[in-house]
Amino acid sequence: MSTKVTIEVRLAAIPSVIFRGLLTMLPLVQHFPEERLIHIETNHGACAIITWVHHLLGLPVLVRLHHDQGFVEQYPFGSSEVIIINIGSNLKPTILPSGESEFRNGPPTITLLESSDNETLFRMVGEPDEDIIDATFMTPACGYGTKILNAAISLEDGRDQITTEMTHIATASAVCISKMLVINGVGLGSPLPYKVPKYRIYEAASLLFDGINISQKKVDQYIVDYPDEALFRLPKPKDISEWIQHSLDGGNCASPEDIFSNVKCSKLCCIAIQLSILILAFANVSDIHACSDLPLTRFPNLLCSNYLWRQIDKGGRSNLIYVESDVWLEIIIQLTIGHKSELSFGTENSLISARGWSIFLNTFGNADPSYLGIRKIIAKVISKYIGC
Amino acid sequence: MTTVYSILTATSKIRVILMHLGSFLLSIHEKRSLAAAIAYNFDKLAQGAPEGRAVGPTPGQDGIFGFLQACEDQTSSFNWEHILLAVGATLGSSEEETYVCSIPT
Repeated sequence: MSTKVTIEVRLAAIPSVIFRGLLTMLPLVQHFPEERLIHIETNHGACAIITWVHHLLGLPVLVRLHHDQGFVEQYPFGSSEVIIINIGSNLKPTILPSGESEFRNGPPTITLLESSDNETLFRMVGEPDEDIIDATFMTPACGYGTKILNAAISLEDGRDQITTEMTHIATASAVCISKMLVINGVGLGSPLPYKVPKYRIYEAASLLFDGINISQKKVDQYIVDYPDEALFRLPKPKDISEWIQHSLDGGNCASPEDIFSNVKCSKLCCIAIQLSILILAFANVSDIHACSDLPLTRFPNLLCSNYLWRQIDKGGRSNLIYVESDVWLEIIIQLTIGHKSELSFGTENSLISARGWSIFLNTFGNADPSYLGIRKIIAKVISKYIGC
Repeated sequence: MTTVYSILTATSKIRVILMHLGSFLLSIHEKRSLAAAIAYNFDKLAQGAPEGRAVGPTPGQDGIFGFLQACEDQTSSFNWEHILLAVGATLGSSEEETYVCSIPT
């Protein structure tokens, strides 16, 4: 029985030194598969390396899984072995300043060997200051919320029930947020309510939480139950009180009520609010079913830098939230591009193309300013697949 | 004529292979940092070239980024996830663990 360790999702990428090593060594191995051998020691990115060298290049791979208890499991991919990946083998004892010794993972290494006599031809070891290659995982919009919630809840906790409850809470929260939205009425002096029709919110929620049956009655009940003081305080879920009680024991919040209802305390509530923002953004998409395949990154916390999140975070339920109509475009683009560094989003942007999709405002290309009031986002596939 | 044709086929084959590899690597890695890693590799290779041997010009990071962008736009609808999950399952981890840790330890 192997012990499972959760590692930050970004570490699933191939380590830089292994990546560079493979780029250099793979052609040498492909030319002389009988005479060359690659030894890799790494703890991350094994699946990606196997897919690359075995499924794409057709080279046989042997994976050796070193367990803490000292035994080794072997998984062959292909008949012989040209590439050997050792996982968990480079544990090295280090002496801590306190005098205790601890096992730490050594840097990833990649070695090219002569297969006849195992003579090392050359070897690359990870440099501590080398840049990390960042990972990005995309999931289609259809069922996105379900996947994000499932990943945050462990099976033992009764995943299905909690996911269903959180779905209803996120939808209720989206409806509550939508009631606070206003736009600046030009020339009128007073803010105009920004209406997001309820049926569109339900449509968006059933797309994002595909596979979960959303009951409108239950959502309405949560809307009634929504606490008055602040938007980020979510109503308490009804059906999963046992689980909340359980997480209370492990929680580190000052007051017991806070464990569930306060975004700042609970990761799950944080995700619920992020998803409710996403529901609102999708409620503003002109043809929601056309974008069910739109790829979104698995890091909804990117939305924490968004304007709407900041307003929700500081606003009470009586405060109005002023929105620009392109706030929705920004939310969807943020998750489609999936990385902060790439996003230089200005107010002048009205079209962005990424991953074969174009996301734009429906006023794009419209010369008549009278259309500018209603802005809906249109996501379209520009090229499903172009053969080369 | 035959030579010209075979050179052309070879080039287009290389392009297809590069496209596949680019498409796969992009399904896991972030574009900008992947471009930086490839550019760094070219730099290292140029540094390590034997003395007196002419080193050809190496593509810059922006050029590589553009190539990756083209790969992504044209091939991102291919679902590499299935292969990755299948590999993960062979190594004994479930779907979500493949994403979270990509290896069982």
